[in-house]
Amino acid sequence: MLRRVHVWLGWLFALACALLVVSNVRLAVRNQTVLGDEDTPRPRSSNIATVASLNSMNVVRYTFATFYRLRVLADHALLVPGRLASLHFLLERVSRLHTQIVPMLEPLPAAAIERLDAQVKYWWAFDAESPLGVIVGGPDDGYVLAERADHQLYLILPESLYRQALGR
Amino acid sequence: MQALLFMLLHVVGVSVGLAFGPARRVHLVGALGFLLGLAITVVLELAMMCLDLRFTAVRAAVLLVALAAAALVHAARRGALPRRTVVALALWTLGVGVVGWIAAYKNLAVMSYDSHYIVMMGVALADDGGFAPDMLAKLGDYGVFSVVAQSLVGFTRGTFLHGLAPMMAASTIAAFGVMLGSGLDAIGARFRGRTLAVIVVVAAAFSSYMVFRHTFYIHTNLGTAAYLLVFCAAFWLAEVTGETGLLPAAFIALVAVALHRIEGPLIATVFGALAVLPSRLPRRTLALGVVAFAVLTVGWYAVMATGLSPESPFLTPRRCYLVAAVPAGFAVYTLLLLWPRARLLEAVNRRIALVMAIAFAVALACAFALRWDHFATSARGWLGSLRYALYWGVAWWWLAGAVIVGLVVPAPPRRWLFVVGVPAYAALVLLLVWGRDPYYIGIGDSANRMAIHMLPLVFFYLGLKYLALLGRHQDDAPAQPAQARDLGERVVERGEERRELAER
Repeated sequence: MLRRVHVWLGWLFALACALLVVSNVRLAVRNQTVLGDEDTPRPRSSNIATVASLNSMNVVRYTFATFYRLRVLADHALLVPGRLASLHFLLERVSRLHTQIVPMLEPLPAAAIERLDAQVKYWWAFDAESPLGVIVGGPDDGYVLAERADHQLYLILPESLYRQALGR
Repeated sequence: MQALLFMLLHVVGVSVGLAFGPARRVHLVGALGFLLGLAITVVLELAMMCLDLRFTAVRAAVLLVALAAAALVHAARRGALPRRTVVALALWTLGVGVVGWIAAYKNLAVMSYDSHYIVMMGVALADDGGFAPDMLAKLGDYGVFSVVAQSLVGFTRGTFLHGLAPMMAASTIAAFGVMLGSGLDAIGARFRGRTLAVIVVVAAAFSSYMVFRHTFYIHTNLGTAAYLLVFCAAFWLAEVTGETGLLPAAFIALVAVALHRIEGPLIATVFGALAVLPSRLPRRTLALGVVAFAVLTVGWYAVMATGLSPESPFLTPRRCYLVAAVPAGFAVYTLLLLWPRARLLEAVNRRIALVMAIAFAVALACAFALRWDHFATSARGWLGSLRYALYWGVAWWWLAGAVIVGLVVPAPPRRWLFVVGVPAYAALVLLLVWGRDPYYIGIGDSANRMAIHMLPLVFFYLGLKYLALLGRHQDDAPAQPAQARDLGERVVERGEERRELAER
């Protein structure tokens, strides 16, 4: 008798596993628009229109400010947002290559921000807001350090310089 | 290019598996090939860079090909390369190539701040070929394994290895399935429809959205889960069957666990101690594995300590030495057991599961007593994520039910690695919150992500436990749990007989 119960339990376990799989798949399909996270949207989007439409669908929005974003600009410049430590890491490497780094404390003209904003081609971020806040520093010849209103920091530099900084 | 790199790593893993591992278990060697190859390559690269030897793509390729060739020659001398094995492993390699190509075909990587940091450091390592002066200070935040793995991008023309996480997930799934099948074989559970049953358990283990997400997310959790599973399953299999050939794979995986996250050495030591100390496998073989694990782990932490800032919010030099002291102490204790007069310690070793359970219970009680708000908030945050978050679905409720029903089901032999290991690990996760902000409800929360590490272990154990009920042995013997346990013991005894024969 107990043997039969055990065999039934074994098959019940297999059946329960199958039901769990069905439940997981159904949940993922039904809730794919709300299973986003603070890191990256799901489904992934590769252009502003998609991001905007996702936002209009009231996809769950998480804290954008804490996380690092990488955006490739149309003019082959990279917008490399991050925490100060990682930006310092890049800056140190950039400064080895370009010794004339003079912090520019004046904010960048609004037109320049708009231009950069319009040039965002690929979005790796989950946010439809303007990506740039106040520009707080950077040299004329290479990069700018930007800070958003939410204190998220960005390093904007040409892709070639970014690659040089990483030694590529 | 990424697919070719994955195939190279797989060939390295398979060659080493055939030369020093469980050569008779062809499918196990094939399933573990990629994971072992990746771990060996990462350790090799790390060792070279620590020794100030430049690690370039060309040098690395030559070194890996030479390593694979030498291992294959050794395997051939062992007689581990019959035609059938070669054909089966060639098919596995082809499979890895196809899966690798699919994984690399489209960039579906999910990236966060951490991912970008890991990728950026990996790219910098690949280009420097070693540690630039400022580099060590940057490597104390996430564990070095993923960074070094990403540095293999130097083999390709890409900007980062977006196919690595999916490839690792596919390998983990294959390894889980093959090891579960081998485990059921080892305890004599053969029945019609077993392959289908194993596939269903594998699907259940890897289908929750949280785990699926980590199939594309560049971070440290999937890797930790994969290698922890390989260590526990391979060691358990070795213990039950007496095949010491499984131990190299287990210890390589243990090193990978230790290098994956900054608390990795602690996790690895907890599971290592639970596996090794009560083991009936030859002490010398085990000591060799533990010492190799400790030397590599402690060595890396000692090197890292020379470059870290004392003000770092994560690892400081002092914390580095403290963490490294744990595997070092474990290795010293294991060596001590080789001394004939240390037999007195065997009584403790046999009860290590109980000792560890009590130690963690006391540590948790003290932690809650001393910082109630902090720990209660963290526990609520963590449990909240597991219970209510959409991305876990009903997975943890389901597991809780299966565990409770499982209390009346006969257990597989040598189960302490899972039965005590998983709760001890959960306690360790809670204790780790001592020096940081409390855990919270969120998909990116540390504890929530660390829950992924134990999920495959729980499913693996439950798979062994429940599917064994369907085995043929049920027909001719045990209806009683006690008798079923006897069967487990008989399996272990058979393993010991085999071991004795091998030693002779």
